[in-house]
Amino acid sequence: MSAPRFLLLIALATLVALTGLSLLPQDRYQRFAEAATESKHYLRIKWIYERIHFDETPIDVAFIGTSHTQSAVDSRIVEAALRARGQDVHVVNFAVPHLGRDLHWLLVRELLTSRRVRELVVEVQDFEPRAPHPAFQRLGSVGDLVESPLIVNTGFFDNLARLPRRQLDLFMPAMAGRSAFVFSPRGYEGPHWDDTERLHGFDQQRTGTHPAAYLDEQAELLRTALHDKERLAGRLRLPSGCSVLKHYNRIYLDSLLNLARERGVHVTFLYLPFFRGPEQPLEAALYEPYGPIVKPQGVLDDVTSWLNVDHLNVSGARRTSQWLGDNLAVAAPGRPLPAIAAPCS
Amino acid sequence: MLFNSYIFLLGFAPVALIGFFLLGRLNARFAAGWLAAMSIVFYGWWNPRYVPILLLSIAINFLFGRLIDACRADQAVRRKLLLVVAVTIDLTALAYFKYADFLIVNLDALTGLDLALAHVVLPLGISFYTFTQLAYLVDTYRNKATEKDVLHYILFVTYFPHLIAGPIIHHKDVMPQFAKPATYRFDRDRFAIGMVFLILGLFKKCFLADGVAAYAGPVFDAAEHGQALTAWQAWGGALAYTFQLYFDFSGYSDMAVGLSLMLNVKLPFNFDSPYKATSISDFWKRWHISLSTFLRDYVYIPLGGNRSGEGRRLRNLMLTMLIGGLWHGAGWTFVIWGGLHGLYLVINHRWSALRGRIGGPAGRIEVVAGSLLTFFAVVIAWVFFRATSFQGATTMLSGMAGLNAGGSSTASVFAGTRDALIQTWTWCVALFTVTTLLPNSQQFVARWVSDRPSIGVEVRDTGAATWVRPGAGLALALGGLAALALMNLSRPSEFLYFNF
Repeated sequence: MSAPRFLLLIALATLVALTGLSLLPQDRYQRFAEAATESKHYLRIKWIYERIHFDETPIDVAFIGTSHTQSAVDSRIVEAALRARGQDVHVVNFAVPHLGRDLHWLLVRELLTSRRVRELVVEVQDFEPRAPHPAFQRLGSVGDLVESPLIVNTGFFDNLARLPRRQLDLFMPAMAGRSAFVFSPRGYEGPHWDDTERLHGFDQQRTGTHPAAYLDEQAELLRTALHDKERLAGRLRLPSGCSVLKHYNRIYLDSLLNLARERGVHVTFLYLPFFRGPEQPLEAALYEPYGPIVKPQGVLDDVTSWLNVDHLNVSGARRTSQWLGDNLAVAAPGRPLPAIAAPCS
Repeated sequence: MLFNSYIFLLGFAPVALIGFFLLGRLNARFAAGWLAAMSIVFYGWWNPRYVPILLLSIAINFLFGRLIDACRADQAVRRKLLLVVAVTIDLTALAYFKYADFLIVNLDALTGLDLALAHVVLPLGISFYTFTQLAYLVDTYRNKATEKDVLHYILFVTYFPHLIAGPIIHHKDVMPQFAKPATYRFDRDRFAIGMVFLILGLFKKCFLADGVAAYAGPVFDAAEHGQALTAWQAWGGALAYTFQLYFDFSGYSDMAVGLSLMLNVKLPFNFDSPYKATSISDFWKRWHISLSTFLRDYVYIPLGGNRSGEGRRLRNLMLTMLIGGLWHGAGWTFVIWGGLHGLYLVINHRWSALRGRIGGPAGRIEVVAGSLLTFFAVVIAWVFFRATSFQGATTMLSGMAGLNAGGSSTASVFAGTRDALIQTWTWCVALFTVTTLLPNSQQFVARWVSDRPSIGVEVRDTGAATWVRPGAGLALALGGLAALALMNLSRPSEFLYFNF
């Protein structure tokens, strides 16, 4: 065999083997459960799947967000406050650390294809992100990763590269009949998973505070970074949320919002900036057509609410949760959705 | 940049190769310049701050090489003086970057002074490029090498397949290849052979070395924390590291040989089934061959070698191995490792002398016993090589000696993984079989190639390599190995020898 044919055959064999491995079957619960074992920060991911699929307690209001929402929203307090207002609803906080709309879309799809939800509360920050969420490659199906948008998707090849190994790691234990991930009600956390007092997997209580001067110093760094991003967006002469650099996350955000609309689910945006951050998200125009943007201004202004410059402590979380319960307008069933004209489309 | 990364395999390497051969069609000098420039990019990828240090080292050594070469025959003293100055500069730089804190700590301990640590960050590959250039200076002094072209000298030192972790190359072996026009023309047969080496190296590194590493690290970490280990745990950890190190470094060397062969340049093999060695002296002819050859030619022989009687010979052996140990790292555990190998070699030479007096050929049992004893001695020495402290090493050794009957639970050593011990031993038995019974990479490739695909320690350039009809089965098997390697590429880990 000539050298070129030999090389071609090697390449083909490699490709076939990697494709074959990528197509190994496994179930979604296993993916979610496995991801939870990889990092303490992802412990709640397994519970999210269990809450959606194995717990029949209704899910009327679902929070989708990052560590900001994870540490700021105690779903039990929000639920109790809403009930005190006469709204008999069940509230769940599905936030996962790190901002990436691909993961948010994936979680919302998981939720809305299985459960009837009335209100999604989607966290927004000052800017939409550029990069994919690190957990997307762990939780996405083969199709999700392959069909992921290519333009300015910094994780596309990395996600595909990890796929054969991930599929094999999930497939082998299942084949050997010793999958550790079989749902057990005894190991289930219950309808609420609260990380506001203490993050699961960590010892520290979230009770600390800092002097305003220290938080201001830290916030100044974030403000400078934000200013730089604004200038860059200005140079690109586009509303910053429509920048091609954010194309990847915009697609997932649009998909998330469109999916919600298809299912008749109302959306509220929860703005949780850093300490003394901007009055409103710099890309507010992106969200406003889809739903109101809410922000617990009083709690955020209080220096004693902050564990660090961008996360609330337990006191801030309790007051935020109470504020949300007192102010959140949960859509009544059947209420019509607002008409929209997406600003970048 | 790591060989075992997508950015290297799918980005850097194709660009470097295509650019080299395209420019080579126009002008060989452009192509050599391209390769040198790409090699500097490769080096600076980790941290561009170290590029000036590398270039300064190159400039100084090139200058001294030219000055030594320019000396007339009657200027022997000047010639020697220039060599001594250049070698001193190189060793001082190496001592500063690699050993400053080690010297300060020991000086503090000896004198009671409280000198502040320098916290010098070790530039990547400094040991390798310093040794490469030391060899060049000595070869120039001995009239075995000369380089007048600065571009070729830069290429000689920075040539990316060998720059970071060897093999340590000699000017007279490699640079004549760049002088040949054929080197700049794409050769599909050599490219294919190079690809086979690259795949074998990737598989060794990404699948075997990284696979077994998961069982070595926790055991050594537990020992460092003073956890008592059972004999099974300690031996499992020591053996896992023994195979991790071999597959890691020989995998890197295979990749270096393969990549270089794709560029039509032969590099020396660095490994020749070291765990098949029948004696410790045989081991050093098979392990990190380019370093052991360097130590022989540039340390052992200049110290006097075996020219001044048996006593001096054994002293020189011991000194050479101590220097070899220190070359690997600034720590007493490396010195002990070198000292142990020096001691092994001394015993080996005394035994050989005794065995010679007894006479008669070695029987099969004697050969097998020699192999097992060599392997055992090497594993014991690796414990000091891997441990980060003397305490950690002795904890490991006491476990291996069976002095901790109860030991720690496997779950506590392996962070909750109860069947890790079974997995460790499964890996170790499999890899022991691979390293002692199967052919090594060059023996494997040689079956399908009519030419030596790489130079030996002595260069034997026998022309273009040609295929001997490798079958489809081989291609499919290599594709499978490549898939297994690429599957593990998503979490690239550094090569162990980058630290030395």
